[in-house]
Amino acid sequence: MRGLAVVIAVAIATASGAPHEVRGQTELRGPASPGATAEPLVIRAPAWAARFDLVTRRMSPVAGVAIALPVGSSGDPVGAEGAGWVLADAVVREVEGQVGSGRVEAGARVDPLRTTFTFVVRTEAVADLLEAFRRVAFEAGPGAEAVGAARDERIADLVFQQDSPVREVDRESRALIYGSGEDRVHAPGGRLSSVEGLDAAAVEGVRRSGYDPGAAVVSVVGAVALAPETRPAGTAPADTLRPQDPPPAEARTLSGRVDAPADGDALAWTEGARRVVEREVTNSWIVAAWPVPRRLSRVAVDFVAHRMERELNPSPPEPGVFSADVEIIEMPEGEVLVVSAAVQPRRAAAMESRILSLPSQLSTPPGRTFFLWYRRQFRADRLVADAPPEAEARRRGREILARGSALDVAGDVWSLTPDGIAETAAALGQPRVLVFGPPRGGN
Amino acid sequence: MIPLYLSGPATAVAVALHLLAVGALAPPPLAAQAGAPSAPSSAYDPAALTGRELANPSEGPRIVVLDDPDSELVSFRLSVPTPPAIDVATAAPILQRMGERRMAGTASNLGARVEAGSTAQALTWTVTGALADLDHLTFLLRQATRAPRANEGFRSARNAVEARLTRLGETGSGRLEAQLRAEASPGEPSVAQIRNRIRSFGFGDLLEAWRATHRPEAMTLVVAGDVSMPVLLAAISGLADPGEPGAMEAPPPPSPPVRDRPDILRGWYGVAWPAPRPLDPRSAVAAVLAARSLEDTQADFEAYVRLWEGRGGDVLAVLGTAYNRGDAAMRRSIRQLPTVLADGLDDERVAEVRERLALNLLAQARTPWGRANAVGRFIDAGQPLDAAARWLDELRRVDASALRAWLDETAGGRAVRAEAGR
Repeated sequence: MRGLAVVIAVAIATASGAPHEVRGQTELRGPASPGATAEPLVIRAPAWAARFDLVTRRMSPVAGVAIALPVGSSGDPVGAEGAGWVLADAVVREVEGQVGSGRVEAGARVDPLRTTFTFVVRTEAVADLLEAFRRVAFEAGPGAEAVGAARDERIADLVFQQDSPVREVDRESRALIYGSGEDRVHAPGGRLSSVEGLDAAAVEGVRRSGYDPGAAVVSVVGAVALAPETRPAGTAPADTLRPQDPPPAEARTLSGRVDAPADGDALAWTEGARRVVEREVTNSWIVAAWPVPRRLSRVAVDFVAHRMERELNPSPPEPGVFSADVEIIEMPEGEVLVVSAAVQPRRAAAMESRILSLPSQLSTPPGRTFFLWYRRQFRADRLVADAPPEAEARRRGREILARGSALDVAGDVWSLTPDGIAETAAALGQPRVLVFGPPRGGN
Repeated sequence: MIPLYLSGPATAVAVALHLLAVGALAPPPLAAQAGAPSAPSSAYDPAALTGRELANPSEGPRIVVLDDPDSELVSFRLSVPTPPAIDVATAAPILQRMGERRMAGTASNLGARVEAGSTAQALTWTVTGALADLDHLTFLLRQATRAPRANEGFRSARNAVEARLTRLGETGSGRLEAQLRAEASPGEPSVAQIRNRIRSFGFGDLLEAWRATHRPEAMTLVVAGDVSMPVLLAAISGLADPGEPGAMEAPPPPSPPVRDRPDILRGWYGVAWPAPRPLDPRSAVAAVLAARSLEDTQADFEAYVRLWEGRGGDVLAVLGTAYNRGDAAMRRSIRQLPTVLADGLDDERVAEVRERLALNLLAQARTPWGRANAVGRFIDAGQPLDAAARWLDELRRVDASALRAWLDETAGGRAVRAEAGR
């Protein structure tokens, strides 16, 4: 009856036009159900990891594991661009082989400043996986066969991508965001000539210089629990984190530096810019990036990014817009909010204008009804995105690496307010814009 | 059976088979190094794949719960049975498209995930979102299942289904698969029959099929999450609302018959073997091993494997294409495949495939909607609430000997052959 009363209240509130939020969901939940029959598998935090993060999901039939390292393609030696990419792929192959392809699926992503390994693994194989990763990534390195296979596959991909305009768009985007330093601007996967020239020594060199267990963040999500009184050898207890623990006072961040209190208003850049690259191609691309002040709440920035993505991707979709994505990129200079859109050339001018107007549009506090709706939508979107355990592990690992702590998606959203959102959008710095495509006068 | 070429996403097993066959799910296994892990013992909890039925005092759907204590998400999978006596081969894909269109806007506004699918026995609607939005999520189910209206895109949905069938007829693989499936599953309509029916399929026909299938008491709702029963019962009332009758438009003029001019450059040939039992893990293992065996032997021809799940049982099919010079070798390889497979079996190879298939099913079930689909698929087929968990248990016991017995029984039974392009 109590549950029915709640449902009726919701219906009445909705009918009256007054929004009703069910923040605490106790009334919706069932009584203590039989649920899982087995206890979570107890595992020990790996002694080698600098940071270990664990979320228990008792009914998850497999575990998701993510390992984030603050080293990326910017660490590739000159002339050996793509070495980090090939190394990551080789590590994946070697680890899968050691753990067993029937027990784990693995992948890796290499960005200019970060490498993230993601695994879907049978619960009983989590410990084996972590040990295999330690051996391969930090001790013995991947075998020659794995390196050769990774290199050959990368070469095949690069041959396929030759002359694709997307490669040039991506490069120009990186230059926009990271600046003109070639180490961060070159394609993380290298170019055909550099990868063809890669040898095992170059790949091993990247591993020895860049893969440091002392900087690794390990995140596990699944039917696992942390063994009591377990922590990485030689480290203080605070390095073994549970989600509810506050971050240590001195947290490693993406830069690898201790994240000492910094100027809250510091920005990745202070002056905006606009660059136009004209090419005779069939699409136009618009990339806009705004520097984000350090002082802003991460959940608020995430919300603004989500609103932007929603505004650019209405239902039904707009004709002439092929894609519009928003992401937040972390780097030592600060975070950057990036919008990337691919459109028909005749839509490019209007889309650029629309994208650039978003911060201004969002800096007006939304009405209460709309705000409550947007907040629920954001929360639901993020919960669904986090549903695969490896997706949540990957998100948490990257956030801890960047900022020292991970968002509690379900709970942190309730701290958002209309004024807070508006202030966040208004605080974004000057944009840098890239317009890539056919000359506009010819459209 | 709703032909899978008309339905939504393939089952986890079918997708896994394709990916395993092309090696996309795993790189070639490397030699295990010293210190390799011991033989796996599973830590997966069978409760994750076992439903718990709740008594429904109302005239509503059967309710099966997959507990997930403290979860912030909830998934609802509603299946609408499509009995063989009713011609739903034409109606089902149209109902799916129209239902998806009705749900799309609300789902997007909620941040919810929706999926329309089908199994051999039912249409399915899977809705996932935040537990806090439970009422809105069940509203989506009501939207999906209510009576369609003619002005909700019936013609475009019908035309889209007809276009998809036409595309099937334009290629060698499409024609051959359709032909093999029709002959391997007697009593189920062929592509040609469906195309003939849909040309004159009117909205009245659609409404009639809807009325015959959308009865709440015949439906099954699988709930993956942590939901109070009274709240749930109140929220799921009103499924399959007949609504206002609405204006009935005149049936559209039948599309003119089209003489197929398939663009086929090579000869196509295929053999299908109906398997003795539906949803048999041995079928899945055999299909993967068959695909790998073909990869090893292809020279002047291409061949691939399909495993179709039908109302009466699984069907293992091998299809190939070749120019003249490779035709004889292709036909020989396909016909002899069961024998070659049986001769080459060993426990180690079987174990490796077995482990991959197990991981695929568990990985599919790692999300609430995946879990609901993994369990619901077996319930749709009339199997017990723990059938998914039992399937995994049975899979673990499949060895070379069990597989040889399956091959003997299957290959020794009725085989169907078909050709296209000659």
